[in-house]
Amino acid sequence: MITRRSAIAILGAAAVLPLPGYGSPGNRLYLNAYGERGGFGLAAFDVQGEIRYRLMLPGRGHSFACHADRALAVAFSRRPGDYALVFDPASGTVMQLISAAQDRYFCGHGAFSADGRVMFATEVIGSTGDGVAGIYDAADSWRRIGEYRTHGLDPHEIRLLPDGRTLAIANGGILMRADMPRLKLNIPDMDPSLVYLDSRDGSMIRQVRPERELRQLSIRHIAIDRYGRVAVAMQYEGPEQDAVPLVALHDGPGGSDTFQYLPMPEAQRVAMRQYCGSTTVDSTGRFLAVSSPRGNRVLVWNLASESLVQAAQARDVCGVAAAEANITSTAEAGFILSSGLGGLFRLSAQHDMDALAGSGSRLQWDNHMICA
Amino acid sequence: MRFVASILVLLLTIGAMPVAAVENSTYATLNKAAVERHILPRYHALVGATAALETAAKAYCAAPAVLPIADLQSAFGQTMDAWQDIQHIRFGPVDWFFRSQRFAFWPDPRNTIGKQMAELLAKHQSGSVDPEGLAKGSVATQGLPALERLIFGEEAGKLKAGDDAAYRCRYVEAIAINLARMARDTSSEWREGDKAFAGAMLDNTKPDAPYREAKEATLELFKALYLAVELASDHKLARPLGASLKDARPRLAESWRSQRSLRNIQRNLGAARELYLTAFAPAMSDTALHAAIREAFDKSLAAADAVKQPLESAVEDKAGRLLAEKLATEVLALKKLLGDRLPPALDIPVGFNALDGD
Repeated sequence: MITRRSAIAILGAAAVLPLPGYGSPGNRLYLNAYGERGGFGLAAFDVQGEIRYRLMLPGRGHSFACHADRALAVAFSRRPGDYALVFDPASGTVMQLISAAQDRYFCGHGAFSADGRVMFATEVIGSTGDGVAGIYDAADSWRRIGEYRTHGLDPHEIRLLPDGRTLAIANGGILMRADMPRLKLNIPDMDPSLVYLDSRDGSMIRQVRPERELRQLSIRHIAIDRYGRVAVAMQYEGPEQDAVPLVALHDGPGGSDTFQYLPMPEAQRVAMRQYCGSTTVDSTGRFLAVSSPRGNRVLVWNLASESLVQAAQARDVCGVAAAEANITSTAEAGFILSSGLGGLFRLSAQHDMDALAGSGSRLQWDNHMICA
Repeated sequence: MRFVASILVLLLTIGAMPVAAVENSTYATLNKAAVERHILPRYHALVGATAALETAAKAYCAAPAVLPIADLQSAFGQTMDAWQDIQHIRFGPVDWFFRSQRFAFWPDPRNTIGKQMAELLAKHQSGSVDPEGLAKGSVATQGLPALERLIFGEEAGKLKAGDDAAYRCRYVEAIAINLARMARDTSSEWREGDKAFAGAMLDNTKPDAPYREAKEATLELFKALYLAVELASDHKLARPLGASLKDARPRLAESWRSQRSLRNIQRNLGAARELYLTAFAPAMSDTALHAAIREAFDKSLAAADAVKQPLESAVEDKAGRLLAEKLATEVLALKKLLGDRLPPALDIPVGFNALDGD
């Protein structure tokens, strides 16, 4: 567990490490965890890929929760994780290091309530593998004030729906044990699901499962479109040669009990290598990007026509964030992407994986990026 | 306290960390050692083992009713050893014509092997089974797991008597002949002629070279090293172990019929250790990391030796299971060490995201 002394050491390190900011005000920053020669951190960079600050992390990071209006961001440790770091995403000022509760491990993702007063973090119970959403009070030193069951094993990404009330949670469905980190122990009996919880009391609104023959599709990542539909990006744990869908839409908490799988040309499906790493919807809410670091590519769908409109390639590409809405051409805001080999890219109808100017760093960008 | 220690280490290492500049010649030397001292000898051994298997299959099938099957089973074991010693290489000639899957189709969660073998065996009155037909047919029915089903356990008795005994023996011979051919072809395509893969892998100057620089070939070798360890922990151990004693699935072990699933893992770990020591270790300037990796290999192999009973029974036995779980823990630690630390130490551009997903 994190001691007071270690928290101070991290805060101290943070004060030393940030690089000088030379920002042009108004530009949004993008956050991405990284690895660098065996060490770990997070970096904030602008749309040109210029790094504004870096924070050292006590272990490998994963994704973020962000509440822009309250200038709050939380970096989560990769599962099974033992810390979450609260910081100001604009300045990089570290505010609090949260250590995992007894017998709980962070799963790498989190989400704020609409008003930013509480933060939800996906966690597993170490002794059973069951999923919970830990609840943290922003006004009370990020005290853990409770938890909601996620009704599944291996909860991963969590997002708040546009109604400001409903949480969507991806239960990966894989059983892991704390003493054998990351070893998947129930592949024949996986039970993945997408769950909607009422963020006010944790009551379950709906649970959606893939058909029985697709139960080895681990539902891990979530994006939400302008219609309030939920896109899930999955990872298949069954045989390599099985032809299975990897991306699906669900029509929301008031909707059906089935997924609608997005069409993917067979060549692209095979090239994804049964693995989606990250997903997001662009700032217009109309385009969905899904990355596959194993397939070295990112696919983009038009959500209105539900058709694949773009397939772009970059080695080990995974992190994907909605690019900041450009006031002059909102229709083509597009995405910012990162790769484990240090690349940062812009992808839109006009930019086919253009490398960002400042992306010559040697940082190995980790799985997820968000626009803070 | 763990955090304090790791942060201090981080601060110290960031200050003192030398920028690992690795010369092109270091990669070239590493690749050459891996090809000439690891890969080629192991394919050579596979050629020998499969040739002996072919001989044993023909000898046994000359008089299956009266001859003991032990020699054939022993030849199978030696072939499986040789295959486990090189199964982590998934690039080059073994990747052509689906050879890797044809050698050993595994894992097989839907029992594709069993179903397709049953179809093939059902044709014993009308059809024929020969090496050529087998090679062109399903990948599931022509490899070592199919042969294991024919010559171990209750099924083995059907080679001696019954309607389809003769047909089964022809099937056994066909598998052995086909395996021997695949091994010979794989080995010769690595070694012989202008297009030998060994030469192509080591000479990155030609326009059609499969690797444009030595570092890319090193990356491929690293993936093979990592795969050997990852298969052992994430598949060969995790599947039969299940979450707890009551969830153990001994029949998800790789070779439960021949009771050699643990031995497969021992061969895999031994092969990975040898690949590391032969090729990677001489390139390592970080001596502390090298010592840690060597120790992690030693601990994994010692944990495997300590299981002391077939994996198939260990996972269902209270005391044995603890030892099998200890083995999984050690192999996981080795995998993490190799995945997290080796690529940066040798400046190999390993996909940070692709390697161990989340």
